[in-house]
Amino acid sequence: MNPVLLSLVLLLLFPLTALTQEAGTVTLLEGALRVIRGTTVLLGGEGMSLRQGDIIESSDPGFAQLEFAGGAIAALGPSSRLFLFSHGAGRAFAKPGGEAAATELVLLSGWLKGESSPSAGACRYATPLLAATSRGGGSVLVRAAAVTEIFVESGSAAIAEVNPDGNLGQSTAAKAGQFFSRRPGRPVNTASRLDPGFVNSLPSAFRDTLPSRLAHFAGKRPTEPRRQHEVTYPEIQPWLTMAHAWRRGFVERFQPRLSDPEFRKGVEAHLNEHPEWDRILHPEKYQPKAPPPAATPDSRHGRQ
Amino acid sequence: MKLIVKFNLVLLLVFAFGFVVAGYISDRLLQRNAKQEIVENARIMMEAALAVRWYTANQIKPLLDTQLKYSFLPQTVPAYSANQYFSQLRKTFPDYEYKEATLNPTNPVNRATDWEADIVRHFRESPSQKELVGERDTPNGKVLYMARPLKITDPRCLGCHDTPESAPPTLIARYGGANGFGWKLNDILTAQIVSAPMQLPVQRARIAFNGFMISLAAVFVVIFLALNVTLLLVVTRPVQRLSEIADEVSLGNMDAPKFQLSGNDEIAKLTQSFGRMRKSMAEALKMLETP
Repeated sequence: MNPVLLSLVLLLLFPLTALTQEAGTVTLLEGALRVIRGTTVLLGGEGMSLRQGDIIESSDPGFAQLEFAGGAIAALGPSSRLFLFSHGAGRAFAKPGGEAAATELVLLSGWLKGESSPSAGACRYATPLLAATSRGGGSVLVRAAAVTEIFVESGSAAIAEVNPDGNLGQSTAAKAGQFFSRRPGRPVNTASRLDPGFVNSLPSAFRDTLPSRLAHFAGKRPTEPRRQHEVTYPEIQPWLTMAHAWRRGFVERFQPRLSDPEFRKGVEAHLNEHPEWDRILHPEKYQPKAPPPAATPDSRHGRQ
Repeated sequence: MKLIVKFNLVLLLVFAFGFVVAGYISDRLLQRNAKQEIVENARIMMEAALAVRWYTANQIKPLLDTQLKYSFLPQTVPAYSANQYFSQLRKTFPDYEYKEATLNPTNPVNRATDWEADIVRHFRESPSQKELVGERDTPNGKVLYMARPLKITDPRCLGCHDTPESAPPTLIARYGGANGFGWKLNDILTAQIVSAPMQLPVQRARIAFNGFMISLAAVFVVIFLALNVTLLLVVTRPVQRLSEIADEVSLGNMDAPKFQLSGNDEIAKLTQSFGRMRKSMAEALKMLETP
């Protein structure tokens, strides 16, 4: 086969393989861990493999440590929801307004602590209001309804506002010890000291460096998650309505669930929040309009 | 004066002299030993405090470094752990006190008082001096103290004591940025001081002294009684009896009872000699009376 053609075929196939590739492992779990993979809700356990596109939700009380190929470690606090948006294991994903990141985790709510070494490449920890991109070091994020806060625990990071479409605004270089907060509709607030409220509500496990436990699972078969049920609309609705940049591909992913009338009803009811589904629900609206009947030579003549 | 009285007088004089001399020497020795014991205990306590400091700096603090970024943990400070260790120790040894007296401390609790500051300055001026033992007067009486300099030899100490800017923000939030900075490597700013009231060695020495002197007196009394009884039974009584018989014999009573002690000592020989003399005398008188 022509080498150029072969390369093109491999390049086209890569995203598919990347999607099914193991991105990481759940190495520590307290409480329950719910994972939405494809359209299925799974109950995860220690030793379970993670894949790009997984939506991970921790219980309250609960704590989960996720270790990614490449060396990045992330910890989820109680009642936290995380989307493994991208994981390139060395391959960087570019994003408008920000530097390319090999791993991007989107925190919808709760607590996230991310630690990585420079060899892990750039890791982005994003929320709907603020994002931290780090090339080595640790950051702690908390996303609540009223405020989003980021503490650069060690190393350095680039802190950026996140636009409503999910793309990054202007970023600021941050060093260890700096604290950032942002309320909806407000600019970023920077402080050199931690907010006492942040410290008081910080999950106790986040106060320590995350110890790698990957060696415990080396050479063992990954734990198989237990299948719970097919995802319902209320379960996925917060994700379907998040910023466009992250929910790209969700229509194709969850389209099979439209066969469930309840799911379809939910999508229909919130169509204004995720209008991209309109094309799927009402394809007739997007059918190319029938061309007007062709004019006869007589009429052409008549016009003249 | 009777023999036993003379004997007892000499004995009492010798005993009294021995008692006073032994008392004086033992008192000095016991006082010195009690002080030495306290200083030795203080040395052990200081070495233990240093061990706790080392353990804190090398094993505890690295584990809590991340936590320090969120809130200040005094448990990571060697001086704090040494003080905590000592406060536990004081439950068993309440007489001892420990302080890491510092000229420019972060925690005001460790600030050196006037006399402590003098000790620290003394160590700064005499860097070769490794230990200082002394006494000082306080409103509660004399106090014995032992001090050692603490030199900053670990560069990691400067992480919290170089400048406020380089110190952990949580430390500044706790103690402010005014004190405990500007420390230099190999500088002496702190002295470990263990102190105990002088009353303590004095009391201990007094207890030991009293015990010793009572024992000594008891031994003297036993010896005194034993010697007197022996003198009475072995010397005084036989001599007295012999004297009475000699008196009767000298008055011509040759029928006076015989008195002879068995044995081989001087008194027994004397009675034997007296018996022979009496017998010889009786025979001589008989010869004179025979016409």
